[in-house]
Amino acid sequence: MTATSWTGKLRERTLEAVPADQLLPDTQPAYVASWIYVFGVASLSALVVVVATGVVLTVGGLSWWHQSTLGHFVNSLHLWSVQLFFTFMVIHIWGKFWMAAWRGHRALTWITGVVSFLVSMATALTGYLIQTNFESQWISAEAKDGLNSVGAGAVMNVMDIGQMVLWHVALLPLGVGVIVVAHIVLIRLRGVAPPIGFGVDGNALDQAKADPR
Amino acid sequence: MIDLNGIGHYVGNGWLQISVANLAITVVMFLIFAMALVAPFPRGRDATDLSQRHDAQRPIDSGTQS
Amino acid sequence: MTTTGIPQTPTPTSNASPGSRLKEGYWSGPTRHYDLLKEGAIALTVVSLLTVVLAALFSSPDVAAVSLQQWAQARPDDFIATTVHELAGDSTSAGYGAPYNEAGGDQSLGPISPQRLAGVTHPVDPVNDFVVSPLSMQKDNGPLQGALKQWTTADPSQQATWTKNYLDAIDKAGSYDKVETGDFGPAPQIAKAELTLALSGGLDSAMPAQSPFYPVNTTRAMLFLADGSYLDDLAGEQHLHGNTWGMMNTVGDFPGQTWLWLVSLIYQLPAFTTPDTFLAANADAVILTLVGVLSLGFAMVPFLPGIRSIPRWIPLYRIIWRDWYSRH
Repeated sequence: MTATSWTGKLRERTLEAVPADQLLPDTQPAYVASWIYVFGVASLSALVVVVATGVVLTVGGLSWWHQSTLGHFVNSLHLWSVQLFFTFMVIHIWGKFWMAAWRGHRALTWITGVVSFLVSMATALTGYLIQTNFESQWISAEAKDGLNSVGAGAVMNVMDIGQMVLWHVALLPLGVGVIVVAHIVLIRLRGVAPPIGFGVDGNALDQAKADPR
Repeated sequence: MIDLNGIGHYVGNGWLQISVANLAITVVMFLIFAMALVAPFPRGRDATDLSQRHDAQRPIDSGTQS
Repeated sequence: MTTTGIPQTPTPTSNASPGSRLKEGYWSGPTRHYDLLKEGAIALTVVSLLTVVLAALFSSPDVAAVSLQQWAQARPDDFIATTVHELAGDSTSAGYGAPYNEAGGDQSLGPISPQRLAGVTHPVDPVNDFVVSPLSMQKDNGPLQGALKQWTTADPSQQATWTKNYLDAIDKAGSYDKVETGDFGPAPQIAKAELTLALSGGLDSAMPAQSPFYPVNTTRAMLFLADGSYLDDLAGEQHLHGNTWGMMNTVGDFPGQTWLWLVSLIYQLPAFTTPDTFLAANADAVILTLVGVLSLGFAMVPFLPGIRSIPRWIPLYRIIWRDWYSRH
């Protein structure tokens, strides 16, 4: 460390953690050669489509999609991109589990992934709630009982469209975004987990010292 | 366009029941997962070959070689 | 050199201190060419196209919301009965507990009740909010205002007698408009006035929580609607009830929230569906707490002995990395 300013120290720590050729690498470990590896970027792509279509729905407003054919189509894009998002994310989780991808001090990557999954579910719930149709009514009637039973209903009122719109459009996507960014940064920091039984130098681990962690 | 409105279709027996749509999605997910595991993945260009060509063009600090 | 004799890619130079764990994570074995941005662009294009195809093929559902007016039109008897139950103070809302009132219907986890502890943060008084206040706005209707005054000034035991008698009479007659006279007090007049107001559409705008001009908080109208059977019956037709895995379902043949499968599964377990048991009475609290614990466990998989070793015991990884293992 040679810098003395806050800015300089942050720059040096950042570059120490992720040198330039690790931030945007154009090589990857030779073992990253399976289709299972595409589901992370597929999930991220689906999330981009979810957000983009969500932004269009936001421009149109809460009742636009009930009245406009184009609005209804954008709503359909939003629904199916959400279905694809969860589909790809779950396959991604299956892959990461069976690869024990938390090994080598990558537990936080796994944890941020699970948290983003859970926050996404909450975001999806609020999305269903602000449809302002029969489904919203039924889901609010049911969800209120669950949330009230654990005390969460004191804060989250699923029958208050004013609150649920703001949670769905602002609060929860911000949460998902922050956690997903943290997840991706951690992957860049740690690199992709090596094959089970091998170390980061490409050599087989000593079985006596082999540790799934 | 395929109209999915109207009364939904469900399969099941007694307490275990699932919508045809949810079942289809679940089956497709398992199939995609299985295919992702077994489908052959195109072999990319070995970057160690590339790095050897690059290495020939610039000196390498011997302290970083393993 | 690796054991196969393939020269290694030089370790990226780094200023990391010798003990830095971050440096340990960097792969220094064989690598392959890879274009991160191109892969991202291809993935985004494919996913976007797939989304457009699915949306064009299947569209999305939009079953119109149910208004109080529609409820009154479709099921006047159910509407009347629900109104009388609100007057009697024995509707679901009236006995709910937190966050609406202190009626004591809160669920618990045995010794503690998170529901009750969270407090009454969205106070709802069903009799006044759903019935008396909306009807009180009809200042010109002298007989109705007289009936409301008779009700609000009556003794609670008198109110209970009137409502019980009226509900029994409706049950016996088969319909509210076939009931003959009896000791019902002002209950029939109030209930019929509520029905008339609902049929006109006036009740839908008469029950907002805060400003009558910006009714974004639908709590009162939703609680009143959910106290009746109409919404529940419509949901049942669409397989949306909890005991038919409704949490995962949606209207029509559209895919629902399939990711809620585990929560939905637990609700089907006999332990939670056997009537008059602690678990059935507190199913929501117990199940959601359990799901919370399981979610925490899911996040902590890297630290759970046994669970974290499953990938080794069932070596699917040998398929994923078969190319690597065959060459190293």
